[in-house]
Amino acid sequence: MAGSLIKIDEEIVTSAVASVSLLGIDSTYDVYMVTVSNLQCDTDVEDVKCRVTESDTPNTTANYDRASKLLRTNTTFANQYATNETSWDMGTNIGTATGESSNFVQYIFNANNSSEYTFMTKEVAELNSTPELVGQQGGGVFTSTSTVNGINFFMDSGNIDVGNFKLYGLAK
Amino acid sequence: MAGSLELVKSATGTSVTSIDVTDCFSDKYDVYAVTVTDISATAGGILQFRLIDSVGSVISASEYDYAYLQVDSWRAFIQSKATGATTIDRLTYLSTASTGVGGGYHYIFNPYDSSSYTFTTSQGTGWLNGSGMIGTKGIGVHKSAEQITGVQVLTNSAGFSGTVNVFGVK
Repeated sequence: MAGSLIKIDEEIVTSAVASVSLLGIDSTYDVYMVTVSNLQCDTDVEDVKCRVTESDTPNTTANYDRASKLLRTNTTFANQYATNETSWDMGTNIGTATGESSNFVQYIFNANNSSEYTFMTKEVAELNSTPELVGQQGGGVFTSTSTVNGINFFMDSGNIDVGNFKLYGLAK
Repeated sequence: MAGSLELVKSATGTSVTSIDVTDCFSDKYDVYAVTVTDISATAGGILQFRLIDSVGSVISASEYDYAYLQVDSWRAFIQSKATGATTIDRLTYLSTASTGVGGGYHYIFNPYDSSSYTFTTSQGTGWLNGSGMIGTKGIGVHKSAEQITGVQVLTNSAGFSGTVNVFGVK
């Protein structure tokens, strides 16, 4: 069975930007993959967030649910979950010191299907502001039956300074 | 815009305590997927992970932090974590049962960037004789900003057989 990973969009950040959008999700593929590596920010102790985009515009409504296991290296693991938020959480308390960054892979399902919710899985590894190695294994759902065409990343406060952002389609 | 999951390099070992894949990272990719498959063993044990530096030496210093959640099919989940470790634990469990061949993968972030730490996420699955499935969901970091050129998959047991494939996510 032939198959492939097709790059749809790419953003390489080398100076401060308020947000990054990866666009180009359509009906071509059922599943999309996002990789983000070496994400660094300019404000200490801030969270990485993301939203889906519709017609290239981030949807800011309270339709984001999430659940994950927070893996930690200096204390007990935790369950993280929330409903009806205005974004998904992709990283917690990212720092600005040397070596502190966030890295993750997402898989996105049903995004462009206007009759279904958009789901995603995530696996995150980051060095936070402590600095402590922290990770997330979990997922989320955008509880709106809309036509999603991309995903937008931003910091809770401040800018993204550095990072490699890529969107792929999983060819059938 | 072309892109793909490109096989960079493979290595296979038979009844060995480690499998090295050298010179598999470059500036061509930011993110890599490392799969470990066709695993078999003559004794129980675990599979661990190390990185290889720019001169081809396996990094065995206490420079790794890791955490993983072990999700087993017959008991409550287990948390494990360490800082200043000499390996990143644990990808999967080694089984001696012929029907218990597991597998797993790591995503590797920023290995070739000499100015950043190298991060990993991982998922694995295996079999513990007499009990059932063992799964792992993990993270790791090599806390030294240096250029990484390869990986080592190793075991704490007498030996294992398996294949390690390194893919670049282009």
